[in-house]
Amino acid sequence: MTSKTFCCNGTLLGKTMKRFWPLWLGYLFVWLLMLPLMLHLSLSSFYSDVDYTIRVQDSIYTLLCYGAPILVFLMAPLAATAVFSYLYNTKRAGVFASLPIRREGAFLSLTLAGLIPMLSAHVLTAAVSALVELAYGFIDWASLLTFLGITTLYTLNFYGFAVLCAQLTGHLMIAPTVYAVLSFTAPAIEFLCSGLASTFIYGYQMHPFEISTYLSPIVAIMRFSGVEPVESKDAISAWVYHGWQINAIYGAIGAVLIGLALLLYRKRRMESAGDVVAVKPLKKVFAVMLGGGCGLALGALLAAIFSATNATGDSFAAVSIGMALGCWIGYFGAEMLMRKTFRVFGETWRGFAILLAVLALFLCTLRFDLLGWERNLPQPENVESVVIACNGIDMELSDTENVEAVLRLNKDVVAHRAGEDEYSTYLRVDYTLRNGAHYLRVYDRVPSFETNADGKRITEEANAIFNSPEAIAVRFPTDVTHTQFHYTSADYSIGDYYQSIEITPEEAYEWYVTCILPDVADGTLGRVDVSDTSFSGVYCYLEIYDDLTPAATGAFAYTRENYTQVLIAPTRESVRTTAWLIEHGLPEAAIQQ
Amino acid sequence: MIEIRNLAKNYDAFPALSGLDMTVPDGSIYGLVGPNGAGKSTTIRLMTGILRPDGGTITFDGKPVWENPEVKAQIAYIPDEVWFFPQANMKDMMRFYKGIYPSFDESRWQKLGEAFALDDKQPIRRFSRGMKKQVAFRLALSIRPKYIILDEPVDGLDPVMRRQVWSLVMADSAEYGTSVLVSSHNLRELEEICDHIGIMNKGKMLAERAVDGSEDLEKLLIDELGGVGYDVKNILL
Repeated sequence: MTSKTFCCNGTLLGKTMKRFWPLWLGYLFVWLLMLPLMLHLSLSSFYSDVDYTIRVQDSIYTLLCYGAPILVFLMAPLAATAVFSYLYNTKRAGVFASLPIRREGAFLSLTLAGLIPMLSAHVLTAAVSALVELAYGFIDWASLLTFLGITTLYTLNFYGFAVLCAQLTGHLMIAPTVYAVLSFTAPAIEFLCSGLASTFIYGYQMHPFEISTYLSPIVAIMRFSGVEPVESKDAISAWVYHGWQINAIYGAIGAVLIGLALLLYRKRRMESAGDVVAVKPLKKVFAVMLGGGCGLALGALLAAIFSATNATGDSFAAVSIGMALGCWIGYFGAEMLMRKTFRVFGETWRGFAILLAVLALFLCTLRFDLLGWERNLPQPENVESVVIACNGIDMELSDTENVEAVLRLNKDVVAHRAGEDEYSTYLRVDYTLRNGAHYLRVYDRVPSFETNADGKRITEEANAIFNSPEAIAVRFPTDVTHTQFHYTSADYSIGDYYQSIEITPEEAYEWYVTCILPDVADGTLGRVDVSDTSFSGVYCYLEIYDDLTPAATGAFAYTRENYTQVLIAPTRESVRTTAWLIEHGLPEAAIQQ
Repeated sequence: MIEIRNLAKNYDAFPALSGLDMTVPDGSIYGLVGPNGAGKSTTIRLMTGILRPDGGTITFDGKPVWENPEVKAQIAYIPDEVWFFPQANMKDMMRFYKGIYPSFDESRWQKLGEAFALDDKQPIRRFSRGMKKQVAFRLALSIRPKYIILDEPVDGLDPVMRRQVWSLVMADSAEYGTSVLVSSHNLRELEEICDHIGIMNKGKMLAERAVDGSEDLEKLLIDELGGVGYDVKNILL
């Protein structure tokens, strides 16, 4: 027997590639529009005096970050479904399976029949792009090779996953659907669970996707790859693509998934053609995933409706019913799809009952905080610093006394979760532990007038923290020079008319050092009240930078580390500050008591 | 020789075959008959390596067929519903089979073109069902197979073409010792061509015997199946 029946079969490979040529041609066409044409337009632009190489790098690397992963992500399931389409029809499956080719050989031939045209399209795109660059008298090999390398890794990643998905089902339409759904399953589940948790757990806030991002390669790639400028002499000398590492990892995973797909293909039962789920052990998984997913989705939807409409009463009952209904629809819908009959209720109710019990346990865990999340706060000695934000005022504190005070406030807020006030307070506390971990608690509706064991209102506790010496020192830095002052404004209103006084950076420095800081030291200025943040009268705003040197890009970096906003509302008590303002044009009528 | 021993195949919980034994001697033309649901097509799909058995063995000259390209390369299989690549014409299919089957004989392909007078360049999808069957026979015989496995092979062929096809198959069997297995409901046709017959019912082989053309297959079936409660005339005719 010739080796061609054991390894890759050239005839099967060639025939399959030839058969789907319109798909490959369409893919190539889109690439030609996206890269060579775009390069030509960019290079022919008269509105840019940036060097050709830099323009090309910017264009190619930006494309690699956004357009390219999306295109390969969309193409991969089409290619995989096309080359394995014979698996989805009993007649075709029979003809292919009767051919004298080992399954490994057939799998390899068909997989390559999708992979080769995709990679060829990338090579052709790079070649045409090189010709475009040559027409302008240069070639930037680094960016073109980066394009080829990264698109190859994208292809391995997405196509590998699509090939695996193609083995999971016996239905033409289900294969790309499974690919699309599984690509976003992890972030979607995290989003739904996080949404439900934020509804029921006091202090829990929906947070950006963390672990789940890595389980969704398309999301992770678009989030973690990027383009950065290389600067020299206040100008950009080159662009660098960041994303090789994550793409190499996903590319390797894609290769592993192709191996996994081969194992499934070897075991595949050809009689599964037409089945929604082709792998027997995965049938229950499919029903559980669809049932669980629909349950979470409907539950989270109802929770969101309750939250958006500020509906009164406990949403627990409505969410429970929604979750059970979604679970019922999803679970039995999956069974109906798999069994191709509506008569599924009698045989499969046990699985549904178990899934429903799991969902109910999950919901009760959230609603009744069975894991103690609400009460779980860090020990003071483990806290490095805490960022506290309350009704628009925020700052980072690290003094032990303040950390302890914030923890006491946090505990009091949790203790009074059931309280209701007409006026509620927003409180956000982000503890940074000494090991780098974070504890984030966000309370949207803190009952403002509830009192703690010492008889203090929660807002009074917050005020004590915000007006502590450390907090005042954070809000009003003393070690400043005139070069650190940038934008300053003093706005006031008389009646319905709003006016402002123009203050130069030099004047701002003088005013700050000679008037504002002494008034703050006297306690006549700079104290805050979280229960009353509605400024009236005069409202002044100063920006104090650690370093005013602009970055090479011409933009300032607005971060907590190098930028302090000073907000003050001078009154007649803050004698020096107010006098300075009157001297510089503030009408006395604008001053409040 | 094709030997099947204790073959079992289940579709989920439904047992399609259970403990099937069958022997197709070398050079014989073996007719496989039985009512709908007897397991004939399943047996054929197992014999051609399409389906994987849940139990038992299928061997061709002592070698298993499952995942064995060496054996499968010697088998020409024509299913009840033939399939070709949608855009392909006969030449395309010939090139494909030539690349897949090492024993493909192009000169025979050319010669068979005289027996099956069809337009080589016309897309096969435009052919009638009978013409598609002719293409399938032309391809199958060009492989120069040691075994030909046919599932309801002449459905759609006109009477003249049926005779033509059977004479080609019988000539191959006589000249090259090709073993032929035919599953069909057309008892008269089987009476004319088969030298062995196997009667299946409910996934089992009820009877297997050599025939010489003088037997009345219908009577034989009534004897075998009537005893298990089937109205044979209604099922088979």
